[in-house]
Amino acid sequence: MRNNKFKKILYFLISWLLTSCYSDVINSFEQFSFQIPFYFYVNYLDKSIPDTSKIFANLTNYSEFEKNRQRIASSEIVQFNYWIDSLVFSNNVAFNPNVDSLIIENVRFVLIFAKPKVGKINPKDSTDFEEDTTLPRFVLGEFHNLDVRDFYRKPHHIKIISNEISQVLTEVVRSRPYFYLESEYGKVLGQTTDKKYFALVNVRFDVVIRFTISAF
Amino acid sequence: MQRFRNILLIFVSITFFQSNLFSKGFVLSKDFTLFTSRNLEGYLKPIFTTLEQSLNNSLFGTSLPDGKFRFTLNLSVCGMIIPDEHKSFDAEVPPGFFDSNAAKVAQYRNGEIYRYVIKPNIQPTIYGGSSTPIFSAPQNHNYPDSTYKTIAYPEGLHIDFMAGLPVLQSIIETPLRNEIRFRIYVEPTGDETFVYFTIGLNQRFDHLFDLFGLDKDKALSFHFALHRMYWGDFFDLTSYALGINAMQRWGNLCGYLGFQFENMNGFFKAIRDTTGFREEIVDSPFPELREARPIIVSLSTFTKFQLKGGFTLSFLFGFLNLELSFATQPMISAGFGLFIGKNRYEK
Repeated sequence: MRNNKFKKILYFLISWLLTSCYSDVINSFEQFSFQIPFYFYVNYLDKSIPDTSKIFANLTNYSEFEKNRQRIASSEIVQFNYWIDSLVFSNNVAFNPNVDSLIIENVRFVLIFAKPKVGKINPKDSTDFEEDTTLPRFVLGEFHNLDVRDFYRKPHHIKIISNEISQVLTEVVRSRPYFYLESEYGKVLGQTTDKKYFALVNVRFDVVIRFTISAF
Repeated sequence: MQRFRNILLIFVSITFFQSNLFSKGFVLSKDFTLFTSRNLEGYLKPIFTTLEQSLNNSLFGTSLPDGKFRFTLNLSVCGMIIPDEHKSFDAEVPPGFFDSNAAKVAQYRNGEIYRYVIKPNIQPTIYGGSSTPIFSAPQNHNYPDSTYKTIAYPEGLHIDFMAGLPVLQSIIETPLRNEIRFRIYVEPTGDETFVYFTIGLNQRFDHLFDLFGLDKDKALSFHFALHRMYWGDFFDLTSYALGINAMQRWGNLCGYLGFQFENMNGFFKAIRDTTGFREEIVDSPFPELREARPIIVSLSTFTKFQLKGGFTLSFLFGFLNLELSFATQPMISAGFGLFIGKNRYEK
């Protein structure tokens, strides 16, 4: 009789130990994080500066995001990068980083959240969205006296997104994965005219987003 | 085993978003570009080390083989402390990232920006932390240079202590002064069956040389175990251990020390679904992913040796066991056994 009691207590203790030990392990595996780079190619023809322009990003167009959207527990923008891929002056001469010097007084990139326009049931492209003024804008990166030579096909201007901003973005990106990337270009250093024109400007933004998804 | 199968399924599901189990094998979507074979191997190697160590746990030490026949059911659990070295690995980098004419690269590490790929390219394993993306600006738009784009890596689960595979085994002590251990688990899954079995032998040999004279409370044994685990033709694992151990009995308490050599090898294979491959280009900077080559992961372990020591306390109907192991992942193990049929003191 006493043995049976002891067996029961032993069985209970070991079951409890096993359950708690392995529950912890299973909990550790419940979520999985990975980073994915999103590539934004922006091609301007007859671009003039100073200027402000916006590109629209809809993460639902990315298959990796859309496939796992229901399982996404959190998402945060962790790093941002900007460089110039091609630049052609108004006289159709391509920018040569070994010869040409071009300094833009200031360039700023701002993240603006978007929302579907009222009445749009199944919004798809940028015309179906508008700026969400209920949310603050976030400055992703700001460069002063940007020397184009230093940005010409060079990806070392990495901007780390602060935890504070990332945390705010987490909830929004998950529920409304649409946003604008606004680029504000100032004057070229020494520019005397109101506008300076370029025949072609191709720029690249790479935004790295960390997703945490539920494994179950 | 159910738990372990769950963990296996979890790792399969977290790494392969779009995958299907068919009789022809494990099929991945061609859109799956998180891992190359080498990176998946490096990412998972520590968890396979955990698995290997737990397979080679509880191979001896549960009783002093004194020539009586007895059948015991034994359950052991173990946990490993994950060292920092198992939290990162040298991840594969696209070939063009080392050629500045093909791509200029940059990364942010430890508060500094580097304009080149740092070797080794430290990225987290499944037990590690955050990963570090490598930004890349292709220098021309011709293939394949145009594919050398920014890459990022999966992240770890921030695990410092990992529970190993629980061991449920039968131990048969025979009059030949040995113990034979069996473990088996079979579960049909889809068109395939997951099979795991272990067979082990702990053979006492001190009596052959009369090493301890009349002292019946000392024993010297060698032990061996073979483990096989397979699932269709896409998962196959073999592990073994070979070692020597010494025991000392004080009444109901046994203390023991053992040393064993062990190893593991095997593979995990998956093919990529190439339906529509010609229409939809996968422009990953990794040739393996671009060309939708099969994923082939060699399974291996960091641990080759274990030094083990522990105590076993016997009761009328069973025993309790506690063991510490010095290995690449230091391990603590606890277990209990129930004597089936005759108890310890029955003749």
